[in-house]
Amino acid sequence: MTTQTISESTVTRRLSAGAAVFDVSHFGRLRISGADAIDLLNRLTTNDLEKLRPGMGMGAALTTNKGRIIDLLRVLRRGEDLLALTSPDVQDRVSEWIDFYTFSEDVAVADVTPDTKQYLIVGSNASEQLARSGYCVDALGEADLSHATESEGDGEYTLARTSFGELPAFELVVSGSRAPARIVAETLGQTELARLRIEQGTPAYPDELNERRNPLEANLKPYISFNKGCYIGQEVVARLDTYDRVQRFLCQLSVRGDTEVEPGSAVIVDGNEVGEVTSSAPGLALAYLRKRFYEDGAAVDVASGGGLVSAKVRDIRPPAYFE
Amino acid sequence: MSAFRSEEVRRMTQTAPAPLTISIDREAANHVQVFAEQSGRPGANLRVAVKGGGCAGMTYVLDLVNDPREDDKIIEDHGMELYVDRKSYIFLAGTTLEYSGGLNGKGFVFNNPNAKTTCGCGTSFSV
Repeated sequence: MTTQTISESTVTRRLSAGAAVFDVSHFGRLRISGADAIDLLNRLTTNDLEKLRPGMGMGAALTTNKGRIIDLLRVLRRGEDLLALTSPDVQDRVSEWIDFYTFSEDVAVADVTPDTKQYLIVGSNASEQLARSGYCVDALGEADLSHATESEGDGEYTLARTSFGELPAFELVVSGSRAPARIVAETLGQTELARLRIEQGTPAYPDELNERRNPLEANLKPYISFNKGCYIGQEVVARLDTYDRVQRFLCQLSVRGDTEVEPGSAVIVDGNEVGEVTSSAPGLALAYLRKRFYEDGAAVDVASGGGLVSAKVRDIRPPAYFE
Repeated sequence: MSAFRSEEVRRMTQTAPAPLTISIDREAANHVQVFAEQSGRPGANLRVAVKGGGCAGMTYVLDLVNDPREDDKIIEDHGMELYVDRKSYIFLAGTTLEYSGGLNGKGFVFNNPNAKTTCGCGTSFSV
């Protein structure tokens, strides 16, 4: 049996030797302002946002009081406000959630999604390509979501350094007339982005990130502070971690041949259902797998298309899970 | 009026729910006044509020204040005034603020009929 490994995959290989631009304007963008914005958001999310200084950013999961995921936010602290990057189509839910928990705080949330555009630039040459296109890459720190905002003409742009799995990446949010065409890089579409996401083991809303899942099983541990104090869902998340009660983790499946298994398919070991496929591309899938069966290289089957398809498990948990 | 009608009217008037308010019992009010004096603000009143956060979703807030804010609900009870903003009031209506003293006491305790669950330490609740 031959299985495709991540090093053989097409989009990753292309971007390991170059860079590409993805239009991700369908993702959500919220501008959160007011003197209490950080304090309030810190009480609602898993990461320690109080540590943010202007020009810094961090990922933080918004969770219910049962510790389930509403969305993974990327929060950028700009000079006067916070820019929260949400998943597609969930910005209204995030905005309503923040509004519900705003009592007497000085906080205002504005959905700037329709007024802005967002681009993801991924690849080993992304930094050089952006610099060549006149963007302020040199102004960014090395940390994840370190960012800078520059005005130009009637608009402005915010550029943030990040990563997409193991690949260097940048998020670019533009308003006004700043044209994305100025980026000197290949433009790829949503099919390639979906493929890249699965190759890189990156969970996404709503397939992997949703209110059925907690942040620990979705590999979001790097975005959880265990000593920041209370936030909504903290008691559940802390208990799951302290008592090792997480029941499943997100894994990658290398599927035999180029078979594209169906999302929702059961992962089978010895005739028993031990997991569920959440996203798939030809020869590759992401799945939640019961902890007992979560072993790098383990053979499993996927029940798809009326039969069983062989697959191998790949452990894609970030280093935070092994510290 | 027939006996039946009289009984019906009596029952209806008896079972009509009293308007939900927020109250403080005497011991809690005494402790607020002691804290106010200790902090050099004798005669201060009490802001009772809710804010988002805490493990369960909402946490209680108590604060000594001199004056209400515009649009606050003002409740007089046991010789003091409670100030409650209107949004907090929705989640606190019917609450009695009590004081649990002694070595094993918890201090101020919110008996809130709206709270469906509370977190382990009891400082936050969900509705």
